[in-house]
Amino acid sequence: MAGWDAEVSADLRGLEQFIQRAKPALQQVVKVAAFNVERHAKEIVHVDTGATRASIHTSVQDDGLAASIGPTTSYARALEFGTHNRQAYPFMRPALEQERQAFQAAIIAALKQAGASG
Amino acid sequence: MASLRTNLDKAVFDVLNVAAVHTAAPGGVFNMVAPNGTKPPYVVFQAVSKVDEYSFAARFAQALYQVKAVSRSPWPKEAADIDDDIDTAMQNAVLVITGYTLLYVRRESDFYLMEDVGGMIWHNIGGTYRIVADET
Repeated sequence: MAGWDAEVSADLRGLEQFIQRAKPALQQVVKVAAFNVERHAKEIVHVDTGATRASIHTSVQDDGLAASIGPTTSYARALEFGTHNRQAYPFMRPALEQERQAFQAAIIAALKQAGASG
Repeated sequence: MASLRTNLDKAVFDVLNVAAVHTAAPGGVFNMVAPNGTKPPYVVFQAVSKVDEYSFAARFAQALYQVKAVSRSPWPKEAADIDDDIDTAMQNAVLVITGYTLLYVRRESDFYLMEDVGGMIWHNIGGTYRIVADET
């Protein structure tokens, strides 16, 4: 059987300008979503002393295009995932889930806006 | 009429309540938490969240479930092996959910929690699964 080669190429001229146009809006989308996740998590976390709720914080990274949200108490993971004899009280995954659709829609809107203004 | 949550719990239990999982985890399969005194290893599943989504006239249900193996062996391998059996049962499982047509079940993330209870080590290893279904 004869061999064959396939070639794929993409013209990326203008991509860098597009990214630069979209960046401020994407940074804003990430920041809003991150703080919404933090707020949702604080609303639903199982509270005993309040230490885990107070420890939930947001850290924006990668030039504002990523964010890390989470608690710092040693037992927060036991709350989120449960232990061998205690049920889980998930709060980070539901908080993320609650924001997921709005985040996706906002990303699409920001990219469309950047494309339209190019 | 049972709630969607109850129907989802039953569907997930039915998928996990198979010979392979029981052989690997003879302690059993439980919702939320295993009863006191249950001999490990065992499997625990639990709803993490449920969000209804609407698309035009159709109604979709999206739910996250966590399923984990709980083991008391010195090393995590036993729990990890059971987690593999859980994944074989759950990934792309054909869940039967009353009132809904299943679209897919997929694992989205893993987790591992080790507990040291007075020198006794417990391993909790599992994953979070997304279940998407279409209301019939």
